[in-house]
Amino acid sequence: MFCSKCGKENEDVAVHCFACGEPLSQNQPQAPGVSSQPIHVPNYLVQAILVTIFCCLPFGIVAIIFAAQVNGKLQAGDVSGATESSRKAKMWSWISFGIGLGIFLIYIIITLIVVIGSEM
Amino acid sequence: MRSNHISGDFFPTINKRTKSLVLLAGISGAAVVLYLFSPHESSIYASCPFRVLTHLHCPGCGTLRGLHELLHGNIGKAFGLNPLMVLLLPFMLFSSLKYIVAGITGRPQRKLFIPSIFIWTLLVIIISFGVLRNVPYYPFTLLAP
Repeated sequence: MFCSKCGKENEDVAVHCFACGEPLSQNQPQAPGVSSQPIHVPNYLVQAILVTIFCCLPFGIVAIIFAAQVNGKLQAGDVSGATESSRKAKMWSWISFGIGLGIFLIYIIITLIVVIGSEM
Repeated sequence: MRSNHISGDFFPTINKRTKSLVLLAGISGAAVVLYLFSPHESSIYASCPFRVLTHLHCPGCGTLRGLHELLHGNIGKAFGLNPLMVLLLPFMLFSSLKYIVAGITGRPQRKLFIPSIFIWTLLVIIISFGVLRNVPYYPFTLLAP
């Protein structure tokens, strides 16, 4: 299948063009109840970048890896694989956020103890 | 519900419009605080635990100071503090605004699709940036905040 936008050849099952990301229309007859909208699987890239930058944790990097996998698998037409990576990207974004928040709270508590302790 | 659409929501039980409004209020509120109080001198911001413990610059170091400078129109200064943040900000804001507009109007926006090769490249850039900005020799010192 060729991309209608940039003309690059893609896998027949691909959902998005590997080169430019344009949604590829599938020429197969649509199953009833399924719209012709391109399949969208969220990759949580924005959240993954945010937790990487603000929590600075390796877990944010893991979330970005899964975000890349979501789009890679969509480009290859592997919707179930993309959905699985999407779930993991979301999970690791939350783990990163939770650990970042936990460390931050512990840090605030220790700072408060030190400040209060030094004034007593 | 469209059967081929997988929900991209962090809180699937909360109404999308409410979430969009909360997100919009959060971004606006953060912008006001960052505009008014400079992270260079104000004590309302806690220092970064990672920085305190390791004395290293992570890839996000300088983000708050950079955002403060951006809000005051000093793009050059912001770029000097964290070039990665300045370059990523348009994408982050564009994606968030798309989400907010879709949530408030109830009309789904066309999703931005980034080919995976760009995300892998971004990953390499973030990691190399985090390493290089800690190298204490010129020209890498330019990357430190």
